[in-house]
Amino acid sequence: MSPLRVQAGGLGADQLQQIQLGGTMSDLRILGRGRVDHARRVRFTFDGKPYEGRAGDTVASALLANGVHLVGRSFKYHRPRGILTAGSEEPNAVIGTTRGPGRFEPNTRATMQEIWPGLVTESQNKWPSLSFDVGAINDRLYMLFSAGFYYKTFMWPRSFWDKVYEPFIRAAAGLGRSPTAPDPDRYASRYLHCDVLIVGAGPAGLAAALTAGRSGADVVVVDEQAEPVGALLSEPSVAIDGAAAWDWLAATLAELQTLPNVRLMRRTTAIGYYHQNMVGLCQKLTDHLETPPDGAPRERLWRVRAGQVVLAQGAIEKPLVFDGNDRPGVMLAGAAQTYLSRFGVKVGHRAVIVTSHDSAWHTAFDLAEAGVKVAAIVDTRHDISPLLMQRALGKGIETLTSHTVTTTSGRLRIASVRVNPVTGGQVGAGRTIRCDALLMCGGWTPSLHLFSHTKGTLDWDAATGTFLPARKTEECQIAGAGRGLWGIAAALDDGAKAGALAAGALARPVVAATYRVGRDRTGKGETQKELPTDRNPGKARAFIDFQNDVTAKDIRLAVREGMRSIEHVKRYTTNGMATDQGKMSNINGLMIAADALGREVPQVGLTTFRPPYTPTTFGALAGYHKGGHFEVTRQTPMDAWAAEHGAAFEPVALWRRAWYFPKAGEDMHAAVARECRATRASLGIFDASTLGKIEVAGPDAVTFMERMYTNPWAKLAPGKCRYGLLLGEDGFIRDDGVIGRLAPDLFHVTTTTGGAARVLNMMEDYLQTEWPDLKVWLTSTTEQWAVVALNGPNARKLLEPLVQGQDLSDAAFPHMSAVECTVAGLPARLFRVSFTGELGFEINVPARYGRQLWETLMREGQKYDICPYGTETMHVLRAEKGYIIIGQDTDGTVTPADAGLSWAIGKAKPDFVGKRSLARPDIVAAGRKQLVGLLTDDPTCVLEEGAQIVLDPKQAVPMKMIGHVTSSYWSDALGRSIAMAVVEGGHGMEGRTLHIPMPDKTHSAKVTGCVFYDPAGDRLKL
Amino acid sequence: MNAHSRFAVTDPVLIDRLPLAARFSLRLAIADRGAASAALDLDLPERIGQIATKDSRRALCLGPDEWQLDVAAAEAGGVRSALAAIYPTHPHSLVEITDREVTFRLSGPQAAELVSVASPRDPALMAPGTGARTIFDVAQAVLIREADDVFTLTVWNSFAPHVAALLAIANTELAAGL
Repeated sequence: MSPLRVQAGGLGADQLQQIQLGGTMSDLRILGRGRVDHARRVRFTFDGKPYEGRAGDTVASALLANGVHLVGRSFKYHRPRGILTAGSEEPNAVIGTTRGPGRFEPNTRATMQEIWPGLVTESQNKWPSLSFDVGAINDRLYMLFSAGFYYKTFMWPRSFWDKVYEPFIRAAAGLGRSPTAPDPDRYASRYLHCDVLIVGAGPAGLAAALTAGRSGADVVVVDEQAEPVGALLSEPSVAIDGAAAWDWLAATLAELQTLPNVRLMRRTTAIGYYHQNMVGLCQKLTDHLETPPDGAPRERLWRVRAGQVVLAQGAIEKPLVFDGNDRPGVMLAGAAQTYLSRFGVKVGHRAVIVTSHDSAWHTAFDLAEAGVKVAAIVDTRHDISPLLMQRALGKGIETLTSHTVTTTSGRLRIASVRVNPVTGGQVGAGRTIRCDALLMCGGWTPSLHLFSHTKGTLDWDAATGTFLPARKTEECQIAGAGRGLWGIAAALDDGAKAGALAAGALARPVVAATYRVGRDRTGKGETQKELPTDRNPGKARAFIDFQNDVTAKDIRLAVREGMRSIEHVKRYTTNGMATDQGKMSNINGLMIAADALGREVPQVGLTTFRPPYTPTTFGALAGYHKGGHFEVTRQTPMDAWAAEHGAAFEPVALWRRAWYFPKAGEDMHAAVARECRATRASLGIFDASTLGKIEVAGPDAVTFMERMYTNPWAKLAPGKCRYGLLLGEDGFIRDDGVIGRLAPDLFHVTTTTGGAARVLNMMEDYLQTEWPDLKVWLTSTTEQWAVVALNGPNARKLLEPLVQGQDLSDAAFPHMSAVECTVAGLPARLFRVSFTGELGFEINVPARYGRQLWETLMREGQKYDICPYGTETMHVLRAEKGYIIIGQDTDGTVTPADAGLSWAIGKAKPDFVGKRSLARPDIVAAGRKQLVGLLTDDPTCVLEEGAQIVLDPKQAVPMKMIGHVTSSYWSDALGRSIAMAVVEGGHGMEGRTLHIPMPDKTHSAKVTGCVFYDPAGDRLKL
Repeated sequence: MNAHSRFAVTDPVLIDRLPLAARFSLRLAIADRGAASAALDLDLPERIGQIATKDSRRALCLGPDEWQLDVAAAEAGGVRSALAAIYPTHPHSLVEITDREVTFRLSGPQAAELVSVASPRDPALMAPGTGARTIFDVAQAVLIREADDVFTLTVWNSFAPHVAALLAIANTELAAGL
C-alpha cells in the first residue's frame, strides 16, 4: 500500500497502527486525570484536520491524546519526527501557528503553545504532505550528508557557487516558512525593580519564593509554563507536609497570593542574564487567548533589575543515543510522565522504557498504573535498586538490565524496538519487542544557561556526569535540580535555603522553611555516550541533535577529521546550533567527542550558552519601536506649517526637515531651481531651527571659546559674530557654525544639526576634565529657539519695519552682527549672517512663537514674492558659494588647510583643541586630499556625489583613485552644474582636467576654486 | 494645544500637558549656592534630586552645580534681576529654557507603572517631592515624583510627540489590563 493511499483512506499510519496494537484513540485520555479541564473541549486544526483537546492542553498534549505522534519532518534528512519532550526544549515538534489574519508564526513549539478554539496549526519541512515527503530522499543518501558535507561538496567548481550551490543551499535552508504579512500585533516593554527575582517556579523556586516572601522582600517569581510548579505537576503522588502534592501546591500558591510583596508571572521566560543582575524576561500575554482584550500587547519584554537572583530552572532530561532514536513514538520518559500526570494523556498503549537513570522506572510504574502495557524496562546499568526491581516485578514488567537498544522499526511511528544484552562490553544477540512508544532517559542535565550568561564558571562533576555551577560573578543563588540535586525534598529544602540566603544578603534575615516529604522519588543514574551496538556503528542513525540532524557518527567523523575543541566540533557538525541551543544535544555530543578524543570531558570543554534562553520574537525585542513609532522623528515648531504647505521632507539626524516645497506639477529639480531663483532674485525664507545652539556663559566664556575653537575670540566685540571652526584633538574638522558674542561673557554658539549633541558633550568633557577651574557653563538652547533664516536682496526691506530696538542699515548692523531686539513684537536674537551669499538674517524667537513669526514673515513678505525653501535649495545656494557642509565635504580626515579654511585659525593663539596636531608631519605633508571646485566640461552633466576621480582614464583597471566628488548640484544661478571634490594635492591643480569614470561614460572636469558665485562677496554687503 | 487632544485614552492614567510658566537652568559653583539662595529667597537644595519650594518658586537640584528653577511667568524678570545683582561677586549662568521643553503630568494610581514602561529608574526609590534627570524611551527627560500618584515628565519639544504617543500606547495597554 502506498503511503499516499493510506492518507487518502482517511486513516493515518499512526491511527492504523494503534488499531493494530489493540487500542483506540479515545482511550488515550484518562478522564478526570491531570490539570486540564475535562469539561471544556477545545477544537483546533493541525494540517487542516480538526482535532479536539481539553482546555489546558498544549498542541502537543492534545495531538498525543488523539494518537498523533508524527508532527514534522527533520531539517536535513526530512525524517518523520514526533513529539520528543513536554517543554520549551522541544527540538522536533516545531509547527506553524495561525492566530488570525496576518498572525502566522513559524517554529512555534507545540509543547508550549496552548490550544484555544479556532487555533490553526501546521507541520513544517514537508512536501507534498507530512506522511509522504519528497525531501526524505536525503535520508536515503544519508551517508553523503555527513558532517562537513557542505564544506566538502560545494567547494568546486568555483563558478558553480553563485548560480547553483548558493541558491540551492539557500532554498533548502531555514526552518519553517517566514511570515509575509506585516506583524499586526503590539509588543510592550517594561522596567521592573525587585529585591529577589526567582527564575523557575518548580519546587525549588516556590520554596525560595515563600521563604524570601516571608522576609518582606519584593519577590518576583517567573515561570515559562502556563502553570507553575514544574516537576510537581508531573509527580502528584508526592506528599508534602502531610498533604498531597497538588493540595500543598494550592496552599502554597494561596499563601504567595496573600503576600503583596510577591508577584508570580506565568508564561514568562527569563531569556538573558546580564550585568549587575539585569535579567530580560519575555512574557507571552495573548497567544493562549481566543479573544485577547483590545489594545493588549502580544508579548512584553521586562528588563528586571534584581538585588538577588535565584536560579531554580531545574534539569533537562537527556535522550539516549541509538539507531532510530528519532522515530515518532520515541520520546523522553519524563515527557511521557508529564503528559500522563499533567494532561491525563497516555502517550501510547504499549510502551518500552530505555533508561540509564532511576527516574524512568517511576514513569514506567505510573504508566502501568494508568493502564498502559509496559512491555519492558531496558536499563543500560547492571546494578539497579532492589526496590525498583521488586516494584517492576509486582507490576508484571519485564526488566532487562545491562541491555542496550540497537535499533527501532516502524515507518511513521515506532512499531518495535530491538534490544540486546551487554556482557563484558560484548553486545549479545538482539531481540525485538513490539511497542508503540519508546520512552528514553539518559539522565538529567542541570539547566545552566542563565548562569552561563553571567560568565559564572562550571565544574565537571564526574560522579553525576554533569557540569555544575561553580564560581559566581553575580549576586545569585542556584537551587535544586539546577545544581544537580535530585528529588522533591532536596529541591524544596535547597530552594528555601536559597530564598533565605537571598533575603539575608539584602539584610532581611529569615528562617528557611522546612518540608516533610513523603513518597519522594529519589534516584540516580549514569551518563552514556552512544549505546553499544552489534551492528556497524558507522551506519547507525543515532541522533544527538534532533533538529539539525546531527548523529553520533558525525561527531566521531569530525574528530577524525581533526576537530579537537568542542567549539570546532560544534561548528563542523552544527551540533547544538538548532533553536533548542543544545539543550538536548550538548552533553551527549560532548561525551562522544571526549570518547573519540580519548580525553576527559572537562579537557574537551563546553560551548558557551548565549541569550536568549529560548527563541524570542523580534517583536518582543523591538517593543514599541514599530510603524510610525519606529524611531523618534524630531520636528521643529514650523514643521506643521511645512506639512500643510506640501513640503517634501528629508531626514537629517533624528529630525525631519522640509526638503523642498513643490508646486503643482513640479518635480524636485524644478522646485529647487525655482526656490534658488526666487531667493537670489528677491527673498527666500528657511526654517533653520534644527541648528544646534549652546549658550556659553560666565566670566571665563571667552577663554573657553579661545581654547575650544580654532578662531580668535578675544577681540570679537559684543554684538558681532564670527564663523567658528571646531577640531578634534587630531586636528581634523569636527564641526562649524556661526557664533555670536552677545555680551563680554555670553556667547550664542551654533552647531551643525547633526553635531548638536556631540559638540555639547565634547565641550562638557573638556570643561569637566581639562579645565574645571574655568568659570563658564554650557546650556543647550537648541530647542529654546525657533530660527527663521531670511535670505535675498529684499531681506532687509521685509525685516526693517518689523524690528524694534535696532537700526538694520548696513552701517549700523553690518554683515556678521548680532543683537537682542524685538521682531514682529516678539523677543528675539537677531543675527545678520548668510549661508547663501545673499543679504541674510537669522531670527531666533522663543520656540512657542516660531510658527507665528514664520506666518507673519510669509504674510508681510508677499510684496517681495517671498519663497519658502528647503534643505536642498539651502545646499545648492551654499555650494555656489563654496561653503562646506560638515560630514558631506568633510569626512573626519579633513584639516582646516585641506578645506581651504586656514584663514579661520587664530595663528597667534597659544593653544586650541587640535592645534598641536596641525603641525604633525602627515598633516603638513604634500599630496593630502584637498577640497577643490570642479566644473564639468559638459555643463549639463551633474556628477554623482561619491564618484571617484582619476588622473588618467586610460590607465589599466584598477585605476589609481585620487579623490571623490563630495557635493554636486545643478546651479540655476550659473546655468550649469557645479561640484566640489577632495583631490590629492588638489590645491595645486587649478585648471587641470580630471576624469570621473562612471558606468555609462567617463566625465571630464576642470579643477577650480570653490567659490562659484559672486566671488567678491558683494551681495553680502547690500 | 488642548491638553487632552493628543490622547485617545485618558484612563487609567490622566495625562496632561502643562502650560508654560517660566523655567531656567541655573549653573553655579557650590560655594555660591548660599548667595544665590539668598538672592532668590529660596534655599537651593544641595543633594541631587532634591526639590525646594517657596511660594510659586521651585528649585530642583539636577547636578553638583545645576538647578532647574521653575517660577510663575510673572516672576521671571524678578529672578533675572535678583541673580544679575550678585553676578559680579557670584558668577553663574542663568539661561531661560521655558520654551525648550514640554512637561507632561501623569496622575493616577497606575502613574508609576506608566513611567516604568520606558524609564529605567526605580520609582520605589523616588520619594514624593524628588526628581531626577533620566531617559524616557530614547528621550532625555527630567522626571519628578510630585506625589505618590503624580509624576511630571519633561522632555525637549521635538521629542514630545514621540513621548506623547508612547504614553498613549502604554495607557491603552494599562487599560487592557494584561
